[in-house]
Amino acid sequence: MLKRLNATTPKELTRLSKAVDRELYNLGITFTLYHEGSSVDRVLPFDLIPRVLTPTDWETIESGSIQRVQALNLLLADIYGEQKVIKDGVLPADLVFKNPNYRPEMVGLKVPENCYVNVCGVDVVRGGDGQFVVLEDNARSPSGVSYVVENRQLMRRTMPNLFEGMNVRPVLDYGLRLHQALCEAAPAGVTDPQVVLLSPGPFNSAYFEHVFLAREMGIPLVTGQDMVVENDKVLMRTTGGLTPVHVIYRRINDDFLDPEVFREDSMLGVPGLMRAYAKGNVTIANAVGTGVADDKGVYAYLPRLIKYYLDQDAILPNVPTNLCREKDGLQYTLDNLDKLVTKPVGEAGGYGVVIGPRASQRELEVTRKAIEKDPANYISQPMVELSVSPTLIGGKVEPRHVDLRPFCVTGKSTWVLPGGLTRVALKKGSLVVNSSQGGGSKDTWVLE
Amino acid sequence: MLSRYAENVYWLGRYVERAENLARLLDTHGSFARDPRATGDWEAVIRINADEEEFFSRNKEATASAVLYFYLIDPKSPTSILNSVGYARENARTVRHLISTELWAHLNTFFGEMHDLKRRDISLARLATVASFIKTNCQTHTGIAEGTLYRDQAYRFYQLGRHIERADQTSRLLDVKYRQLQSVEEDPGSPIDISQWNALLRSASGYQAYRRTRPGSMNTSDVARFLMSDNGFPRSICFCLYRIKYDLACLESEHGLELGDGLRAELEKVMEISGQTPADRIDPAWLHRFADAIQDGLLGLGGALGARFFGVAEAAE
Repeated sequence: MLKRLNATTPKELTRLSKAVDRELYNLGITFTLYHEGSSVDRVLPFDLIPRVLTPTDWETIESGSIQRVQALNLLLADIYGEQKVIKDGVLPADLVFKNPNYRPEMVGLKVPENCYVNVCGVDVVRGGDGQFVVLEDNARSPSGVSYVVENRQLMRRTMPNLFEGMNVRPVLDYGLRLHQALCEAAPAGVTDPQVVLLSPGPFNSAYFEHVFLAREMGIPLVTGQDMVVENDKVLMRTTGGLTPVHVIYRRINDDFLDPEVFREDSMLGVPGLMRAYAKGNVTIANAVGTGVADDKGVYAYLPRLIKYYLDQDAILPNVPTNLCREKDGLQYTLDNLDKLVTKPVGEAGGYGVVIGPRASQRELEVTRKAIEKDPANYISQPMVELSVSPTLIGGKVEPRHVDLRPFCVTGKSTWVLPGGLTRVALKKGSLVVNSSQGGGSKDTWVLE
Repeated sequence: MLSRYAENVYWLGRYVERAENLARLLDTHGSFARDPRATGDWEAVIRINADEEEFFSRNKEATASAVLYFYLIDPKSPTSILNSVGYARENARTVRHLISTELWAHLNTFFGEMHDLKRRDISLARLATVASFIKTNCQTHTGIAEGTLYRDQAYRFYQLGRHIERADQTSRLLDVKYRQLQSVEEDPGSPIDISQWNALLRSASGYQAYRRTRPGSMNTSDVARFLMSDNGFPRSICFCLYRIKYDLACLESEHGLELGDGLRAELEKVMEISGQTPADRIDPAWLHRFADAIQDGLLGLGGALGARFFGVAEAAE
């Protein structure tokens, strides 16, 4: 691959790269940024140099991710079932019951295959010692998979010669796999389930992905207004009348699902949906209430939870995490603010993350005050030296930091999309890879 | 198919068709206006689209440049071509998984190019160029739709939107010219008369067909009859109505949808109006009433379609 890349001049690479950006924009492969009340469609910058993972690397990531998904599903079944993990003193009760994402409505509600997390994104980085570690689990509505597939298609069109004889494992069957898993999770007794994708609508920043997934699965892309609940059954409005819905792959948060149960002002959900769900007439994927398990606080306990439920050691270790909710953790964090990365527990998308060694004295003071005011909302971790990957920057190839989000799809069993989304921090030296903050993406190759 | 999708593809068809026809209308008017013997009455275009209130709320006078800005690229004007293409794009965005990537990508690019147009690009001197740019893009859209849209309910609703809009727009195109002719002393066969009908037919891309089917004749009544009721001309009102009838029949026979009495009655009503074209000389006042009746009929038809298939009545309850 290196030889082939070398045969292409940087000028040519830059030209190709510009063509790709234009294509992305024309195809509308965009996400929407909201800034001071207005919205802008942005292309997620695509870097032409693929990131390559060896079969051995991948084996670790794949088996480690499957293990985590298993533990998360067992944890959720327990939290909303017997709550043994709490009674046995493995997980502090308040981490569960005071968690805003804990849903008491789910207690005692059985979900098919005991699967709560049908789609999981496990954020993995490679540290200075070469080992892969998990930064966080995304068990609600992880996004980004559309870029994995679209990046591959772009790559194949733009630099077909790179692929010759390389045995790159395919990613284009993601839609089929997801559809199959969702069918497996259909309510008992339904033989030919109608699966739909529930989206907040065209103004959502991830709408492109919703369109993509509905298309890849060949299922209707619905909004709340397209569905009604009658006699505890979910139906959708079609030109031929009301027809049944069996599985809802939802890309809206719990809060908005059913105004009868959650936020009354939700225009995005379906009144009565939770009744149909409780009766077992419809599957919601991911299940309601999974947010209690992927929270940054529970994350710290995951290695212990893997041991507890599976009697195994974690294949993918965590980053050591200090919980500011605990006295020792708080003290250690405050004493070492300048060396640690601090994160608010409830935020996503990289917002509120403060990287101690790179923060100014003033930023550190602001952070200190915020932590002292609400310690339970913060965790801290040592700096993880993210690995770098060669990246095309202004006509030259330079090292840039990357992370990886593999996608795990679970029905009767768990399948991991070979590769996942590699995000790259395009700013020199930056460790923040989020698309909302100057990140781009790369095609990720897992070799046979 | 989801009711909402049916509605989105219907409006996709309508808005692209509307953009194309408005470009045709402006183009024709522009070429009339440049004839020193004709009036440069740009207000007629505003009247015919019933946009007086909107237009005069922001403009004092209906100058060529003000009207062109208003109808081509004014982001504040709900009827501007920029907005029609924008609405078409929003509808397409909602049903992106139902349409081909090419159809979406083209519309997305077209909107981007419309968005980039500046005042200097749309002067009267450049009107022909910009109108042709818009027409070409609308036709490219139509071609991609023809070549890639899957033939299911979505396609039928798309075609329904297109032809309801086209029939409506052809009636407006005729009406605007007749209103102008009312103010000009009618002298059939005079140079100005012939050049105007010539331009009108060309702007509707009907010149060649008209010449071929009616050799040796170029008079007001024959041209109007051609645009109203020619069975072979795809932009005639009559042709569009037959096409609408056909697509509705397909929804019933191929997709098992029931049209219902309300929709059927509206279709029959508008077809009956269109069948009343006189065989002899056509009076401008009659034509104006006819155009109004057709527009009302199409409004009723669109409403009935919405009530039957898009859940519009239900949502309004």
